[in-house]
Amino acid sequence: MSVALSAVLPVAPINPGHFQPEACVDPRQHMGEDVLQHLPALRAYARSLCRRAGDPDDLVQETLLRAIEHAHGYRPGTNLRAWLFTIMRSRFYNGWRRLDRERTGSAECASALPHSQPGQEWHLRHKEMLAALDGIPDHYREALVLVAILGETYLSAAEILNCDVGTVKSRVCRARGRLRTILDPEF
Amino acid sequence: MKSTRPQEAESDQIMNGHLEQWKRLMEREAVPKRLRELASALREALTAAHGPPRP
Repeated sequence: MSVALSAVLPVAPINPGHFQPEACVDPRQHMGEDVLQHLPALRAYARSLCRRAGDPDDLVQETLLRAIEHAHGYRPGTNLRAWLFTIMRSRFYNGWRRLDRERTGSAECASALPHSQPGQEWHLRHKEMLAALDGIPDHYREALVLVAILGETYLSAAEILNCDVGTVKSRVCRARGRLRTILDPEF
Repeated sequence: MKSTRPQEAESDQIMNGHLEQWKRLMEREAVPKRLRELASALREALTAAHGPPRP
């Protein structure tokens, strides 16, 4: 069953335009970017946030809907991907899980299905890494995924996570330590 | 003795390999059609809000 888009748009006010990281030289640089290229990173960050709290792709969908709604709030030339991460995080921590029950589409919906099935090897390795990431605290995992996997700078990650750069560095360091222990118990 | 710096460095290297591999696999994973359509819609919305791309 699908519901109207207006029904799944967030009720709680957020301000996706508040975060405008690292201005670039060309104020229209984002126009040259293909938003599609950010989808894998958005899905990865959504997975790190959701764990077992809902479908990460639904969180990505919510994020894109919010971004479309607030497109005027984006400052051209700034880090588009970080802007999308900020919207996603805000959405996640502002009641997205409540809306999970009302999400559009379903697991059986044809448009929700990938256009190719992942291989068995991918599936196993993916599950192994997800299980390891699940084993570390949320705030460590978020910092690790943003910096070590998705390649955000410490400064950008600090703005996305709304904390100090030093805190991000500390969290990444601790996350690496925890992950190392999980992946290599003999260590 | 629990660990030494060389052991830690080696273990870090292994973990970095795990993370990098996971990242590459994530990038290769197929994206659902609904998300690709929304990404295209976002691009159009950004263009509508901020003007056309520079040549």
